[in-house]
Amino acid sequence: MNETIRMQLSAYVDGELPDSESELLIRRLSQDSELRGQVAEYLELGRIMRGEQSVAGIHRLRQRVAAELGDSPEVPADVEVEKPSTNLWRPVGGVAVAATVAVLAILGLQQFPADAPDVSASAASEEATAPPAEYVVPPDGSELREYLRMHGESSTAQGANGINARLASFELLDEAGVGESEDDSSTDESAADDLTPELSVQPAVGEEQE
Amino acid sequence: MRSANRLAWVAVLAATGGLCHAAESPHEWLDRMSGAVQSMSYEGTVIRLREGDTESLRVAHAIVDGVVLERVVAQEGSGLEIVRNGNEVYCILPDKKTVLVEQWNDQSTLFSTLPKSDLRFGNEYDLVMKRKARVAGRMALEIAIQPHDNYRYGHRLWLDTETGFPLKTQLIGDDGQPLEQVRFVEINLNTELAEQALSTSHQIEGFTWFAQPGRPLKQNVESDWVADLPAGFYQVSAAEETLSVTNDAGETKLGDSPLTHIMYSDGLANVSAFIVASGDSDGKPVESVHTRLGATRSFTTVTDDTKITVVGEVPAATLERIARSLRRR
Repeated sequence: MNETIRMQLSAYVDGELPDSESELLIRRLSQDSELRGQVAEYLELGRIMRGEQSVAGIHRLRQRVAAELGDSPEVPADVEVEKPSTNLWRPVGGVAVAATVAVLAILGLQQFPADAPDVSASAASEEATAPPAEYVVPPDGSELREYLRMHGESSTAQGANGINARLASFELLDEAGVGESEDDSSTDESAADDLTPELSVQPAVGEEQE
Repeated sequence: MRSANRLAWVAVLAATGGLCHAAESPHEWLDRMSGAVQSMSYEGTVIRLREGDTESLRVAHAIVDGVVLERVVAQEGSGLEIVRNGNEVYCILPDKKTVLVEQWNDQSTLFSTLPKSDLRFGNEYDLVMKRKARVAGRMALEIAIQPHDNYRYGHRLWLDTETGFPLKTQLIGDDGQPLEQVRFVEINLNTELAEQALSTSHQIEGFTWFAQPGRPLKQNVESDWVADLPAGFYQVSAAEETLSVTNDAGETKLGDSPLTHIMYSDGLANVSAFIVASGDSDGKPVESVHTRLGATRSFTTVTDDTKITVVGEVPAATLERIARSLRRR
């Protein structure tokens, strides 16, 4: 990302970029996914260095880019930025949270019905085909979360990196409703100090053995 | 002339980082990386980029007497923390006054990005040394792992030239663009970490604690399921496992029915297939669906009396091909 883009971005989020230049900036961002990623990272880095929770103007930029991309947000874009998210890994301030991306990315977990292409063994082509593009939010992620956890565990057993699947499984915890309970009657404060798991509301029912 | 030659040689040295590193092959660099992530202590700030969505995390990692100690703190929002002490993993959600406890029965770390062996470069992937660049204030060598087809993703790694530690990693989609990126913006390597760097910063007295139920014995089995696998993929393992499910009230329990978990790999990309009797899906019909969370995808379909879900960090078409072709021998 060159210095010109950086200066335009700074001016845009400060509301000081002329309309004509703004249009060019938005168009360029909408056409260059790599640049969108660089911009998101750049803005996040700036936020960290300044110790800010959010950057004014970033929300507007995100909406403009999403509009240019032709996405029709099912979730109002400002909801994600202004309100604490329930998605564990989706921060509130989220400066660059989807600052430059299609609204699809805002939804976190995305799901779309398969249009049942014939991908049977005999019909499978050697070149992979692009997936359908219609996404909806899944109704229940608990089973999938378990699958992700098992997959992550087995992946690391192979020596591969399973952390992404693990983090994904944490993200889905909210889908399962964990942590929403207001009932803390079963909390044992004395043992909380040393982070022991014995205070679990849900008792363990077995031990894994390899 | 001699002066020109000397200049050219200096340029080569500058480009390669010196004779010592120039002599190392890409495979040796990957070995160095594996050793570094398994043995080094580090503390720093990471920016994780996923489909244009960014988040910054403060991470600390140490291995003390063979025990993995880690702490990851989200730098904005709710202040989510993940603290790992060996196999015990605590997910602390301060805004919900909740602690979730999980058992991770492995040695996974945040940045162990590749398998240790078994990867047949040249068949499904090419391994290419690229250029040097500065990452997090340190000099790094870029290495690209490029797939031969669209059934798997590529990787780009920026390895610290001094230690081999991965300062930046990217998972590359079939359009050549990064699907996910993890990059340190500042890092202290092999530093002695203070105790508080690995302990929660929150006052967790009074928090509600949740735990995943313990996992039952995992039974390795001889699977009679076969699939039409993309080139290079092979079956790694097959096991009978039990699904634990969390209901709307946040209660987690083990399911009644066993499920078959088959893992496939091409040496780098891993794919899990989960097969259960379709009657176990709460009686509700299940249509074929794709899900995606970053680079992690899943595809679920129901055929006859079975429900098949395939999960992995691979393109959707790979999952769908495997799921739709799974059948008993």
